[in-house]
Amino acid sequence: MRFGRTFIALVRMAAGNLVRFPLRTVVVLACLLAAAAPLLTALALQQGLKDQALATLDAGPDLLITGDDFGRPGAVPLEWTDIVRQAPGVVLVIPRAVGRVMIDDLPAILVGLGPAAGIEGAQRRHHPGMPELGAGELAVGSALARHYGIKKGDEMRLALPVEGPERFRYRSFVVTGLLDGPDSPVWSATLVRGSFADLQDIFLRHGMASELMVWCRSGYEQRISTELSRLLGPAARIQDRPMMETYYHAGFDRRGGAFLVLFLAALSLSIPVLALSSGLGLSARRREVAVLKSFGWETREVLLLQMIESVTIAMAGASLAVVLALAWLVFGSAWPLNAFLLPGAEELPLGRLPYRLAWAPVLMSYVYAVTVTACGAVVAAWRAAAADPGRILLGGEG
Amino acid sequence: MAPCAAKELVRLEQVSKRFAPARRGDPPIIVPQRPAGLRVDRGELVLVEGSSGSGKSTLLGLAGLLWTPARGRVRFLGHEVSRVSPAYRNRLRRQHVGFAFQNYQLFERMPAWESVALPLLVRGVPFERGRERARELLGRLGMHGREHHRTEQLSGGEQQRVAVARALAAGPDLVVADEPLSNADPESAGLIINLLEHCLETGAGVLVASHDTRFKPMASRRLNLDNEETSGA
Repeated sequence: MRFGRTFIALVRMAAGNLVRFPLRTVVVLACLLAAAAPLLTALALQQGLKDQALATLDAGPDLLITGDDFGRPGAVPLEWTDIVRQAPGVVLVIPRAVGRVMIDDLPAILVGLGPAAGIEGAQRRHHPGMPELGAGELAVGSALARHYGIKKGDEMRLALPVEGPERFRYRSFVVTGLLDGPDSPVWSATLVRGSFADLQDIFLRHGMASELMVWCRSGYEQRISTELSRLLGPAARIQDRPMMETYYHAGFDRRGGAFLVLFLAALSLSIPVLALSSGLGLSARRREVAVLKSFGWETREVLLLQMIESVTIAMAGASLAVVLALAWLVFGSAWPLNAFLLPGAEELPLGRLPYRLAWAPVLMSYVYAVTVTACGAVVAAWRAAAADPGRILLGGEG
Repeated sequence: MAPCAAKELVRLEQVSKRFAPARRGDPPIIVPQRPAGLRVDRGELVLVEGSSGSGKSTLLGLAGLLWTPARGRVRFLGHEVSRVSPAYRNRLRRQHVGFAFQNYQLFERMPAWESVALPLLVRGVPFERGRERARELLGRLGMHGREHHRTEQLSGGEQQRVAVARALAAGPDLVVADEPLSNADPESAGLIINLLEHCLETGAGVLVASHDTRFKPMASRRLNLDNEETSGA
């Protein structure tokens, strides 16, 4: 009972000390926020993007077939559509054309879907997508539409890369749709959809597609992949879903890893700053500890008080970092960190980005905050607690 | 430990205090305490006088168990405590000693009532009781309405009264006060003296280092460290 009351008194006193030494409190909180909030924000964004990518992958084709152009992915002839469709177990094949265009000075991805080949109703089931676009029609991603103020019915001019001194030729289209549904993945924000025929025309690849998207009967993917390899020969590259997942993971991990390394370097610099700032106001604290010892406090009680203070400020700092990270993601789209994880984000505001704040980084930020503040405070606390109270309070002179 | 009813609270015999040298490698400074003996009993006020640097505060530190002597003996409540562990001295101070320091040593930005209640709160006394006791003591020292003022908002004299109230808050057996009237106006000084007299009536002992003549009539014994004179019983 008495220990409980003493502990409550210690907690009250620790909270009071945080208020009484505002400079120290503010500096430590600022250091904790500067260290933990960007890391939490970036990790949450990375996790959100990864989740969305994997969800898109899940809803996407089972196999992706491209040509092999001297070891790099190349275009595929449209005749392969029929060959692939004939393979036992294939339910749907959709050719897709993908290319880069410029809208003013911003790059965009232009995508067109070719005629689907498959069993009755398969397209509706597997790839509902948008209604087919006619010649000269475009559907524009939300970020591009926002950036250029594009509305349905507007005319839009695309710069198409060509060889020669001109570098670009221009072609006008009519915007008939916007890719701004609530479920649209973030990368569709900078996407432009056109008709397949227009893309073939623009990129001068008549009778070709960038890739074939293939949906299979469940459980037949591997068998179909092997069969298609045999049918199409070495000119085809076939990626199944596990392989695509591996590429996705590798891409995210590489970008996230590069960010993490840079950030950990900055974080390691924050540790001595935090350790020093934890000892701010030490001379006043030494005097106060000496007074407490004159009341009969023991060193362990002084250390316990300091520990409660450190843990309180660390928990407050980590909690604030979580709140700040969420606010940064919701209201600030993690700018400018998003550029590390989402190429193009610095050029075009992508709007609200997907995020998921997992418990592991949150827990890690609490552990980090407690460890660093406690390490910083324990030296100061020990020095204060071990000092001779008589010398501090009485000066050792009469 | 003997029961707290022991008549003799503290006795110092032939004590000297060792101080660390200013420079590393120099020999420590050992200051013998004069006069050779000091005793404080229950219900008595012992006044220590002497010029600056004569060792008044050192004597108070030894009597209040903040320091251990380099030589000599300290007996507290009838027990030899010259060589006991710091933890044991802490426990004795917690239970039996209250300090009022010359420079008050109040905590920055802390309300007056909390400064006074601090020794109680860390002893596990319930919060409300601690606050009531602090209010009562501050009221008796003429500080009604100033309980919530922070240290910086109090005058020097008020800070001194808070420091005295803090020393008395836990009802110590021995009150050690270093110049408790140095900054007090006549009215405040009267209130402080009244409170110390009340302590004496309740059986506590008071050891005061002061130049103030108002303590002289109250003192059972006076020690002058300049001329090694002891007067009184």
